[in-house]
Amino acid sequence: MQLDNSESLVTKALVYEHDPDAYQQLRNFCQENQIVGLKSTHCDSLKLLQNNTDLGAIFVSDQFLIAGVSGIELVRQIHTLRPELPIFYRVEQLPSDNKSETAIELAAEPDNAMVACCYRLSSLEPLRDSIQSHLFCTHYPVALIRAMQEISLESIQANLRNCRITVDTPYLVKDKVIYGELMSMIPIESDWYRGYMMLQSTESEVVELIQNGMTPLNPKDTSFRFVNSLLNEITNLIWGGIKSRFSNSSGDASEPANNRTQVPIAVNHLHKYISFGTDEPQLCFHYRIENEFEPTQVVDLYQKFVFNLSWYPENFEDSDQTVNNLVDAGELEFF
Amino acid sequence: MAQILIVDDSATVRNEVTTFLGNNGFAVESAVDGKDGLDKLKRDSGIKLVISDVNMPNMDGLTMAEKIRGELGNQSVNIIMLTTESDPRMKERGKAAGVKGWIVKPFKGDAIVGAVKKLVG
Repeated sequence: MQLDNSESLVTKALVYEHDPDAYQQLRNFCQENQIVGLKSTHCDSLKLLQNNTDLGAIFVSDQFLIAGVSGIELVRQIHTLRPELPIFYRVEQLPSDNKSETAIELAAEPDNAMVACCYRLSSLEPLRDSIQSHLFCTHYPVALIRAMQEISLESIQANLRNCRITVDTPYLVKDKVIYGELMSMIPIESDWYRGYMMLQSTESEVVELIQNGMTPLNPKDTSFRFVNSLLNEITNLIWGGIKSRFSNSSGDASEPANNRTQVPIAVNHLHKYISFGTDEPQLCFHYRIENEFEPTQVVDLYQKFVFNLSWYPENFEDSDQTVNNLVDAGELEFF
Repeated sequence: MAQILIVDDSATVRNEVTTFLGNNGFAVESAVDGKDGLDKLKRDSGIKLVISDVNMPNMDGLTMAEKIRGELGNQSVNIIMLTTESDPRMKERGKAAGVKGWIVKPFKGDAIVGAVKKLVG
């Protein structure tokens, strides 16, 4: 299924392009297709891929050449480093060119598909199709995205004070990289979705929040266990809110819990990598938490959803009214 | 002043509730899960009110409430659930276990203090 409201989601892409005119044309194309292009001018930016990035794709030109690394070699290196990232390869040379032939051959051979698509600037339709199938292939109802963000923001705000929180446009990531050192993760499920939600942040930044009295914790409680507790509580609140709002009336998945499919989750701490066994893009929200009294103190909090076990958005039903009724009844209910 | 037991696996919540209630003159003890809560209740007969989360490791809050009434035979202690859960079936189970109140997180300090005062104030 395709995204029904293309304005609601974006993705970030690293662009390796040597030609300024081509870059400009590609940039325009990216903007039209909800992609935020980040220009890379040096092959050292490969380091970006090993660190805390949140990328959805890579664009490489076959004429890109820097520090002895050519376009096709760059493709090989990127694919080795991050095989989950789709690479869109611009090939303007004639088929007689060896490098181009190699690239097209690689793309055409399914077992060796290092590139998601080869394209020319004169014909961008194949690129557009490939982007749709690799990046915006999952349907996320806009109301769902909006409500997830509202619930999450409310949950974060409930655990923080004296801060300003800004939220980026939601985006899709494919790189499976864990941001920072802290991660809180919870299984989320109803009768129309099953997957996981993760919150990721950096310990030193969260410690600063605690020290500055911006959390319910004692400012002296800065050990990592308290830091974990804060992130866990936010995760717990978000999941509670989502469950109340989006679980359909039955509230149960169709099969008994012990009969439901599970898949192993792989975590590689060395590479800051987590895989849920799927290549589906992760739905990502980035919250920037700024100390109201000290704007240089900032915490970046990343929230990622992966619906790897089931996803039937056609059954989406916003039970906001139910929640409103609960709220109207008061936060407190006596029996 | 009545003694209150807060049972929650989250240090953040335990600290927050303890602060709210402490500032209002209540004596507060804490436990990290249902099993720990049950143990503390067995040892301390002065506890008048238990505020508990539902989803906790080792023993959940509803099982703890059922054991307080059944295993411990304690019918007098008041129990309030403080949880992200709002499933009516869970609330029914709580009612059946003699739970007196249900507060949905995120909560406001006033809601906790108001509920405590109403039940044991």
